[in-house]
Amino acid sequence: MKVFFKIIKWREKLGVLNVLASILAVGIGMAILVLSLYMCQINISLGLQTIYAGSLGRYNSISETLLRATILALISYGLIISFTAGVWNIGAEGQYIMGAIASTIVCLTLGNILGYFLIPLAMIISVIIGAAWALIPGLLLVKLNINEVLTTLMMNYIAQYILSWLVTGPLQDKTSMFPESPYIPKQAFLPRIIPIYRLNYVSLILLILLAPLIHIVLGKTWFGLSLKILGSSKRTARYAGINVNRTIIISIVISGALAGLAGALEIMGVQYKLRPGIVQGYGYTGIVITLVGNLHPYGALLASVLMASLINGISETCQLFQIPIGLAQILQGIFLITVISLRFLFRFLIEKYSKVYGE
Amino acid sequence: MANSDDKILLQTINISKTYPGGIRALDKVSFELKEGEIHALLGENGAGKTTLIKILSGILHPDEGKILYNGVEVAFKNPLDAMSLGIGVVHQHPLLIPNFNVYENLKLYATIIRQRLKIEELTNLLKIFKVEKSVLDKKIADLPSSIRQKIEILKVLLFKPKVLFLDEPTSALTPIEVEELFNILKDLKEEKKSIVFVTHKIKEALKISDRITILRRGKKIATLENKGNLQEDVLATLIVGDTTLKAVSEKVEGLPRNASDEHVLVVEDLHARDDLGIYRLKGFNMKLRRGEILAIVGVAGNGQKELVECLTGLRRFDKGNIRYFNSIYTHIVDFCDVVRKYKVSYITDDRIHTGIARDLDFLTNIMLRDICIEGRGIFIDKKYFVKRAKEMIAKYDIKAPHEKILVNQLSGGNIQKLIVARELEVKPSIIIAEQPTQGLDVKTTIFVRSLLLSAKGDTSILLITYDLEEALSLADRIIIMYDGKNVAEHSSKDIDLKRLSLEMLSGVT
Amino acid sequence: MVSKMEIPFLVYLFKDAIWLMTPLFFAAISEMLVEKSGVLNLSLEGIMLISAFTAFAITLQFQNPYLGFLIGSLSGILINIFFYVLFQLIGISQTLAGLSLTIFASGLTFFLFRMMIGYAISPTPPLLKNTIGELAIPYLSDLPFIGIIFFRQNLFAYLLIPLLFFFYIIDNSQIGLKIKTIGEEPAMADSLGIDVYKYRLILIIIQGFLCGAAGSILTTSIYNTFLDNITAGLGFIAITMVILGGWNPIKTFISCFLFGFIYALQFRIQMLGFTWLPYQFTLSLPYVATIIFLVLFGRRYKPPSSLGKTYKRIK
Repeated sequence: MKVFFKIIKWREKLGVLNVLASILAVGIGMAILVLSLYMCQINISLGLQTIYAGSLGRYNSISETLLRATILALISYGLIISFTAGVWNIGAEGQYIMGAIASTIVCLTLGNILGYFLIPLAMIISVIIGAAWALIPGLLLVKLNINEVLTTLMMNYIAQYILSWLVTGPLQDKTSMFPESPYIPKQAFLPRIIPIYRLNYVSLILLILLAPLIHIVLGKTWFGLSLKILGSSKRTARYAGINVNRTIIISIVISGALAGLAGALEIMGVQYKLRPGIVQGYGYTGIVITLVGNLHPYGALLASVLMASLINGISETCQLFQIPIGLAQILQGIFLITVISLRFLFRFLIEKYSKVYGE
Repeated sequence: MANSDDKILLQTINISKTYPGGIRALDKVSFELKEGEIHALLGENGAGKTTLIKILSGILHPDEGKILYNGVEVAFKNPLDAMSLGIGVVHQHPLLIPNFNVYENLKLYATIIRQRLKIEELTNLLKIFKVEKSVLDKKIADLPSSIRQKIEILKVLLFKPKVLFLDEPTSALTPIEVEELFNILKDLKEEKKSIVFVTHKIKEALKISDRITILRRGKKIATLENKGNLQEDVLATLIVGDTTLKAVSEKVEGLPRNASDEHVLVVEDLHARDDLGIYRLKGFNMKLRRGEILAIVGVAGNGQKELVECLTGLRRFDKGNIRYFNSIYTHIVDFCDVVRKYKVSYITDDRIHTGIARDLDFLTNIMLRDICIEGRGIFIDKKYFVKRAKEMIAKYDIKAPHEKILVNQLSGGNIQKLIVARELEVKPSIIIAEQPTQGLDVKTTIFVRSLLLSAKGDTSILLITYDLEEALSLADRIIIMYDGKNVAEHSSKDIDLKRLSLEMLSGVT
Repeated sequence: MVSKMEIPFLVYLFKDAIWLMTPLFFAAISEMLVEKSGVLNLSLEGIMLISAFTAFAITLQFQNPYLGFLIGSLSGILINIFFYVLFQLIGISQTLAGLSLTIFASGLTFFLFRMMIGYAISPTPPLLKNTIGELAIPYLSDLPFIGIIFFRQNLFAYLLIPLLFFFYIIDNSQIGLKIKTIGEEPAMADSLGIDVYKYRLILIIIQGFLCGAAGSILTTSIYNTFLDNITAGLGFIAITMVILGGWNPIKTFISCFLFGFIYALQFRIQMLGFTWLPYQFTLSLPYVATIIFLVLFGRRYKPPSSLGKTYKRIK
């Protein structure tokens, strides 16, 4: 019990416990990873070495991991904003797809006219389209009180079918036997840092700069404060004079915009053409990252690098050792379940065993 | 009158109860109820009356102590156990489901206590209570509070309990209805039923009961035989415990009351409906003068809640207008706009769900009112607020170890202090204070009242309260609210208590 | 004027509508009762995914679709109890718990599916040889049109009406009254001696079974195989059905039939071979319809007052 009383003093440091929950969840996930390797009869140290090599061990894998991490992080940064405000936008997947489509269309149609303006324009249009795709469920939520989980999810499927239609129809590359668009023009390729690796300046800058920016917005501005209050209680937000509907719309639109931007980066920095393969469940992985990252941008940054490393590393391991791919997917599920369980368990214990001040 | 040698039907021995979070609601309370008596349980808000009722009806479990029924020890696992022994409870807030109609509610109750709903009994009781039979098909939510209260009582009586608990049953009834209720209770007593009558109104206790037990802050103070020899003020002293409250009222009298004639908040002909579409405001008017405290007093449920919601932009209104200084609003008040322009504060009575953001820390919660205020910029000046938080903790005697503590780890009284502190510290031009001392202990009550008084002058205060004593001790003027309208206005100098209560309870002027 | 050629088309459309509404209704009707008790279960999709996979795996292993169906349904109970533990015991918000379970289920089935049948990124799944198919009722199935629509149905489709009947009775019984009380005022229900935890747990178990059955039907009777994300939002559409049906069993049934019809239309249009209409448009029909119907009818009924709020007893 004495140990427990020491823990009780931690109640004022719930933030520390939340971080601990994230670390523990990642630890448990890793243990399960090792266990899976063992069960697949792979030499564990060899397996882990392959994962390392595939994620951060070579220049190319670093480049690929950071590229993937950027896209996950952007989606997650947006979700941080909307989850903080208590808006359950699970439509990042669809908003990302619409952003990718928008940037492809801009690059393919205006590619030869715009020159240097092409990249910024394509990115801006993607942002707008991603935001617009999120605006619809946002408006339905505030005007008609329709559950945003249902609408955003439905719109993911719709976006996916729009993508599928475009790459088999209007945008299909007539010379290709696959459902995919032609390559976007060279001037739309995001400038690479080292020419032989795909990692580009825009991705890296966004990955690094957006985290402190989101941190400042959430922690140091009145807008961030109103998001937090809204997420804590709608009634309190109204009481404080916050325009609840407008804040909900802004939060979901920001998350849509960032997901749209992620879509543009996938096209202009990774794939260079539109194809169904861009749909990799990033919207859902983004949710996992946001929650494992404790709704904090730096947490999300770390979590997205971790997730990207795992996805890349495991995929290489799977190919090498002929084990089922999908380990990354199951790990992300485990991360999610453990992190939220632990976090709420800590909270539950604290509330149960802590005293109330002033009695 | 019950004889003292009547047998004891229900008894508690040294019952204690501590709520999670450390509030000691009951401290070794021994209480006995004789067969065929009406026993009044008197005490302030938070004295532990409701907790005792909840324990005796099986809703809560005592931490220690025994309950004896007919001399046999019983342990109620749930309310059903209590009900099966013939204990019926009329709760303070009617335990009726708003979205069900009256019949469904009665049927539900019958289902729960595993009895059949007898139609003749029901018709008979409806007649006694003077309730139309057509009410049976109406949703509870659509009924006025007095009928709801009657239905709640009727629901319990329908199944002929041996022991009847009534927790503040008269709060929504008019004096005539109270009289009727008392007659019914006397009839029940004749039938050898035992009744526990919980109230904070001394007069009612004196009028109806055979014995009176007084609780104060979880402790039993006394059990007195009521043979017509008890004095009201003696009981009052026993209930409150010290004479500090009186001192405050005297101190108030001594303060200068410097109201000017300028009107800072004007409400004209306000009509508004509640969530269910029933008109709760039916042409309300009021004018708040600069620098005064204006109290709006009335029995709960006469439109006060809707009035405050209209004033603070939480509710739309159909007709009439609200004017803050130079801004006139129709249909809905843009409260953010009002706060930005004129620095209006609002002390809500729903402090847990509305007044604070529970998951956030103290520091964040004291910033809440500043969100809308003009010239705050984009960025939060954290250092300034940390300083302000520290000052507040000291100045308002808030028991918080530091400003990073989560507010849900503060007690109710401290949360109320936080809210009052926050709303006063923005130096508002108007404060809308909705039951600012509800549920607070005596010390905090005095403290909050003195804060409001010291803010007066620079600030105009609109006080909405159900507590006449509070209005009298604070306000310069009093408006009586009844059935969505202002029925009378008094200056604090010429108060006729009798007339005031009559106006409050029946709207007669 | 309906020509002779079109009559079979319409007949088969109705037959398919009834067939395809089966999993939807199984999930929706159980969700209705659970929502009436105040619990919003967004893990439906996850439950269906896991049970669909379980039923598929067991059927493949033992070549017995009925065993697959049973184990698949039971797996639904397991997952739903996990959901109950998450929100009731650990205290996670119901929305978050449901969504997390769905994401978890999607990862789990993705992995196990590959574990079972191959290492490829998109494996070709084997078709189940033994499935639960049509059951023609003697004599009645020979009736023109009606025989085809109603009496040459899938085994599970015959359960639709009994299930509706069962839930209608429950809804209007004393138990139903108690459940509604929990969904309106859990604290009050608890104080009246209705054990909120127990009722909710029992409902969650029933829902787990029915929802698991819905998932199992997908693999053992409709698709006869398993694919990644085979449910494709069906769980969420089932939740929508409850909203459209206004928490009323009969109206929920009608909504489910409507969506069964949309699914049938989707299949049949593809079979008709309208080449001018991109198949993606017909495939997205249920999702577009969900949003449109929510906009049009989603606000007509008031949800249970405590929907989505976890009740904690104060001791």
